[in-house]
Amino acid sequence: MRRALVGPCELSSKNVKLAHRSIQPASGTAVAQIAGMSDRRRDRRFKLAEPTDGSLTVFPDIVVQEARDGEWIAISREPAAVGETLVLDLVLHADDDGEVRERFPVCVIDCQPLIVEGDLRHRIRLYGDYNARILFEQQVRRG
Amino acid sequence: MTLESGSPAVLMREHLMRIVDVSRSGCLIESRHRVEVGTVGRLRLRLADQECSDDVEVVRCDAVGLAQALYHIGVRFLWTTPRRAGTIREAVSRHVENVSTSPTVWLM
Repeated sequence: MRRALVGPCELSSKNVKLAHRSIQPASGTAVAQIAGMSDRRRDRRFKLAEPTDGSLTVFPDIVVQEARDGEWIAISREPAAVGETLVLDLVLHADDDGEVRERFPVCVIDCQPLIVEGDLRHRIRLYGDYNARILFEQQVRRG
Repeated sequence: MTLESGSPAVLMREHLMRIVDVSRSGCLIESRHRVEVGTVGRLRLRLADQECSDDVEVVRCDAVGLAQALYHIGVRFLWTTPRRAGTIREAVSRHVENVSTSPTVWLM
């Protein structure tokens, strides 16, 4: 149930005073305007009235080599946790007409630190077989 | 399929996060995982019953949890696409206009 509110109300959180004004559009997520924002962002910030989850997909570059029986060896700047499932995106072939890419899920089976030309890198052993690739493509097509 | 040794590739990883606040230029998100400043990625979230996403760059990552690992991650939107429907920038702009112009304020 929604209740009408006349004027903004003040909320105090620790030592930060927030001017809280919430609006519920015809449908969807309510947002609350925050006054007294820090100067790190140039635009006004809006808190979401209801907690909202999101996902951040990151794309770190690696160098990869196929080992044997569905195993891959990757050299990465970032470590990976054993058991973590990641998605490997490969360029199989590239020319003037474009590039052929392949994308499939891989599971981390080992990760060891490695020094390459004085820099810390991580040698990550991955497993991703052809069946996993087919299942992944079917899921992507289904959305 | 055989690749020559040392082929460049991308190892995509998905971090689940909670959205703390949004603005026209970026978001503050909360995560149990640290993300390096400078990391570029794609942020997806649900705003007003609409799934939206944008390419972002991590501009800060501060530890905020004492008992457990918890990080506040500031990201800025990268203008890799126009501000069209389906982008977080467009959704936020629409909400900002509603907040600015609406004569009635509702409290959930």
